[in-house]
Formats: sequence, structure tokens, C-alpha cells
Amino acid sequence: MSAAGACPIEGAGRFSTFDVLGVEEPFPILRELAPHCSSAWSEAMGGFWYLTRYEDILEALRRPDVFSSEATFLPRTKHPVFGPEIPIHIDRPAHTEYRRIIAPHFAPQAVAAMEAPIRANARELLAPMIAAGGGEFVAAFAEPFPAASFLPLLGLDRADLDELITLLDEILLTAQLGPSEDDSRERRRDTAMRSLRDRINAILDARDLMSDPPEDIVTGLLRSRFADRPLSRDEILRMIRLFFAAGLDTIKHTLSMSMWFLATHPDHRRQLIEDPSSIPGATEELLRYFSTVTSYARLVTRDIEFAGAPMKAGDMVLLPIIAANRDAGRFAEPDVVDFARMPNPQLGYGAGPHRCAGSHLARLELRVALEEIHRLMPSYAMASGFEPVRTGGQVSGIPELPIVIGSPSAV
Amino acid sequence: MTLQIDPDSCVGHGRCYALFPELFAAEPDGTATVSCVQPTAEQLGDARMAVENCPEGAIELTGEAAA
Repeated sequence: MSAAGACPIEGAGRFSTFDVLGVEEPFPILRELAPHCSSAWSEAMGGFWYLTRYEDILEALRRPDVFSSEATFLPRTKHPVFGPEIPIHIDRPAHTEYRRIIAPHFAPQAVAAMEAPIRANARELLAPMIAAGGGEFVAAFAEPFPAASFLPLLGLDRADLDELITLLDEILLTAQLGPSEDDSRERRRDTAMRSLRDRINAILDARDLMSDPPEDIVTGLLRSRFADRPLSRDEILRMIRLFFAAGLDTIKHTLSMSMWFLATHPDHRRQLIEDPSSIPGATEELLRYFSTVTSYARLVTRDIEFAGAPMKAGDMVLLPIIAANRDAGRFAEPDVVDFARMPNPQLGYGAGPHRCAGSHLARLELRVALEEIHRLMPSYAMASGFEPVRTGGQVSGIPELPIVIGSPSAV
Repeated sequence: MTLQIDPDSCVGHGRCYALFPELFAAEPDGTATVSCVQPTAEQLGDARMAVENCPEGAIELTGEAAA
């Protein structure tokens, strides 16, 4: 691929999602480019186009015929151990049928029934940190909370929590750090994936023997039909694999960055304490501002001129959600965090047919977490001297967040 | 004025029924339907905001404002 569509901005041709420069703005090059270039080519990560403006990024997400989801990460890799995850790596028409199967399990009515146990998880996980007067927020809450809320959906219980979190950390090594030169990260990732596959297979084997299985997502999938046939074991494995990939790290990172922001912006925090009804708007705005999933990649299916770029079939293109969500052409004062921002058509959950299937559950978890944190431990601050860092890759956050918790009356 | 959702564009973000439950409702698959096709004069501000807020541009408000 030539460096056509030449964007004259210094550094445009070397942009990589693993070069993270700041917590609040990980890729400043994107906004440097936006006024001048709607697209650019980078030689990094195997070579790829990338877009810089809301309208183009949204349009690409909504045109799956041109921008295939067969590959959604850079650098492009095969889908190890499990194969393509369902439905995120599947295109139409099969994608539509898979989404029809999954959608009822994650619809607003279905997730509303999960609120009480999710709230109980939040309280239980916050209690020891409050009693200790602080702690490392990610390990104590941001990571275990979504995992504890999600495990029961698969018929797993809390005893499995630590093991699964360890597996996930291994599985995400290459996504966070990039490929390794000696293949060591890839080997650890694949070993962990095989362990996860064994665990899911064991759950499915056990279900096959139950005469009265619990009414949960696993049972729902086992009873589901793809058009006129049952789902295969392989298809169910690839779906559950995706639930793990999509449902845990995303919430963890969104919570870590939200908590850092609120700890360092007392006026914003006061709004949540004094008016908890502002929390749903706050979760939308914090997701816009930080864009935990900074970007999705797509595979170009046919030659097309798009956003000024002469794309060829087989090219990869990166759709930086974080650029869309900070586009001054779409959001007034995009760098201001305004919990009452309206309208707020932020793309933190993606858009188009691949819109995050778990977004309603994610919203519920984020709302409940912020409600319980600000009810039970409204006075908190970063440990002195702490300087946050943000991880790289397409799903990114603050991996460590030491906080101190004061008495509630100290707010 | 008439409030409509294009079912081919709605992918179930759910922003409309979460923010304006008096105007929209959720289907069992998470997509949205209009529950109030003819918004009152007092509801027009909300209806217009729902149009602006939908990431898919799936909501339309058409016709003349009531006199």
C-alpha cells in the first residue's frame, strides 16, 4: 500500500494505538489531524488507514458491506484458539441471526432483573476498602465488580472469580501491550484461552446432563436455533468467549478512569452526591470523554474512496471512537466534561449493526457502581503523589488507582 | 407533528426510551418503538432532543406544529 491520501501532518504516518500519551487524551495526533485531514495512512501495526471525524467514523460503522468486522483489532491477527468471536467478527447475513439470538438476553427488561444482585456485589466489594480507609481501587473494585456481576449469567459462582480474572489478564496481554518479539505474550495468551475454553466446555457438559437447568443465558443459548438448526457447541463457545472479552475489561477501565476523574474534580463529584439522578448522564459523558474502547478496526471489502482515502480491498482501517467523541464539529466544547450534556450522541458503545450488545448491562453496572460509591464513600481522593498512566491498545484505561477514603461527613 | 422511528436504522442503543420514556418504549430485543406518535406541545422539546441524541439518526419528527 502506498502512502497515498498523503496527510502532511508530522507523525501521521507513524500513529499507533500502542503509543499512549495521556490519560485524558491518549492520541493527540488525531485532533491535530482533524482540521486538515479527514483520513491518513500509518505504516505502524501492519499498515492501516484511520479516520479523524465523527461523521465519517459513524458512517463507516454503519456500512458493514464496505467495512467488514472479520478483523476488528490492529495489528491484524488470526483469532487464536476459539476462532472468530460471535457475533463481533461476523458479517451479515449470519450476524443478524446471531444478534437476534443474543439480543433478548441483554435487552433493558432482561438486565433490569439483574440490578439487585449487581448492587449487592457493589456493596460487598466496597465494604473492605471503606473499612481500611482506602486501597487500590482497580484490584479492589473496578476489576472484580463486573466479573462478579457477570459470572452468575453463565452459571458460575464467586469461587471462580479469582481464577477467571487471572485468565483474563493473560488473555488480554497482547491487546494491551501489543505483539511480543519472542512470541512469549502470544503463548501465554493462547494457554489462557485454552484454559478458558476448557472451563466453558465443562459448563456446557454439565448442562447437557441436567434435567432441570437454570434459566440463564447458557441454557438460553443451548435452546436457541440459528434459522432452522440448533446452535453448535463451537458457536456457543465463540459467543461465551466474546462475553468475557467484551463485558469485563471495558467496565473495569471505564470505572478506573471515571473514578480518577471524580477524585480529581470535586465539583463534578459533588453533583453526583447531591443529585444521584445525574448519574446516568454522567456515565454517558464520562464514556464520551474517555472513550474506553478508543477505536474499532475494520477490513475494507472493496476498492472505495472514503473520507478522502483511496482504500483498496484488503486494507485495514481504524475507526477512532475517541476522535469522534471529541469532534468539535459534533460536540460543543468537547473537552469540557458536562454531566448534563444534551444532546450527547456519543459513540462509546459503537454504532451500526455491531453496536455493543451488552450496552444496557454496561449502563446498569456503571450507574449502580457510581450510586453505591457516592452513597457509601462520598469522600475520597487519590493517594498523594499518584500520577495516573493509561494503557495502550484499542481498549484502554488506568490499570492502578490508589485511593484514600475519608469519613462521609468530610465531603 | 408525528414522531417516527426507522426500524431499519434503529439498532437498540436505547437512548430514546431511557431518557424520554413518555415518548418511546423498548421492544423485547432492545430496539425502540414510538409510544406517543403525536407529541403534545409540551413534549416537542423532548421529541426534538431525542432526534438529536440518536446516534443512528433513526428518529424523525415530521409535519406541522400544532397551532
